[in-house]
Amino acid sequence: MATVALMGWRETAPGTAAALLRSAQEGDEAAFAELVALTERPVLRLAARVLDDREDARDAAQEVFVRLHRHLHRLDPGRDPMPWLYRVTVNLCRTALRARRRQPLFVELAQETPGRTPVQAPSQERGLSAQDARRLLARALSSLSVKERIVVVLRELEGLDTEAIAGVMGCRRGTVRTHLCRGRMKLRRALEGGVR
Amino acid sequence: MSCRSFERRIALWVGGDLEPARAAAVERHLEGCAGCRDRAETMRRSLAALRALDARACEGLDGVRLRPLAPRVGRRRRLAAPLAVATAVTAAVLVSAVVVALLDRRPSPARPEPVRVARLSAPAARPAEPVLRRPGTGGPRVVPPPLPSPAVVAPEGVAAVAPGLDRTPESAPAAAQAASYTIKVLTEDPDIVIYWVVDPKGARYEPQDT
Repeated sequence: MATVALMGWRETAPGTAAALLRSAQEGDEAAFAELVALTERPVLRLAARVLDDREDARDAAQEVFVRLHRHLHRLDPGRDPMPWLYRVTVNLCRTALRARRRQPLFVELAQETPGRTPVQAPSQERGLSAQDARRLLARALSSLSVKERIVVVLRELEGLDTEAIAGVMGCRRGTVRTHLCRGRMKLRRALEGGVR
Repeated sequence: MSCRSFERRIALWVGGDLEPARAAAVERHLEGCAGCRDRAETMRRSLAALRALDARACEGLDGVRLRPLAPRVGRRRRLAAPLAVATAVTAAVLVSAVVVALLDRRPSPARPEPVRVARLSAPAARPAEPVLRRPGTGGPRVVPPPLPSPAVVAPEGVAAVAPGLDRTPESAPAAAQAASYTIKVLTEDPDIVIYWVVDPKGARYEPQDT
């Protein structure tokens, strides 16, 4: 696994997480619970951003920590567990998105918007309810492919750099840049009418 | 390079994802191209709109907590197999015990009543030639009917009855009375045979000559 510097993980101290991981591996259940409490927010937020559904995100995050407990002794005790958690989260979200695409993806949005509907400018979004904001955000991200969506979320919303994203996605930095470039261009076209 | 070929680089440049040398090339192009400057500004605003929408959409998400089940779930999964086996074995034993108990209590189907055997007391001694003659005359010779064997196995539910022999009342159930019997009386005249039929209800038929 490539060593990654997670810009987006600002709320947790990697040293603390690594120490808790080591204690949990030695059988300390309290340390495991503390590790979950320390890392659940970024995991849940990432899942919610990618999946655009809080219940699905909660299920995915729950599964992430079930897998963490199951594979606890496989993790390197000297390393920060956050990249591993991000990778598992992204993989679970990709699986969920693929399943949604088969159903198909964003049925509600497709029914609502036969054509492209521009999103309001940032100054106008303060007047939106959280539900409207989620709907508009989902509409904007729906034009992206699954990989583009994940890369854009990790880069723009989680704040990871391209090297970290490559570590999480299990691909090269050039591939990340390609997805990022395409995603941003699609987003601009989707949001173009509202941001002028 | 054309503006179209710069579009991809601008998409990376707005986020600071270009190497310094390429970023400098993009900045030089933007100084002289109003269209690309506008395109870059639109892209920057779209990303700002995305972040603003995300910030609004994520409100309240931090209050969502996961169920504190993760450590317990793992432990349960490890214990799930032995517990399931133990539970299944216990359930099987209990079900078998209940079934056996129920089968044991059920009456056996159509078990016949025990065959009742009438113990008949045979005469202690029997004259060699029990010839009865009419007094004073050389009347017909009466031969008593042949005696049944001392123990007679009767058909089911019917006790054997033999005429002229003692029988205990309890050895003759009601069904036994349904069996009639006949007394055959031989006379000296071989052409004359007297049959004495006793009906089940005790009514007597008159002797008939044949």
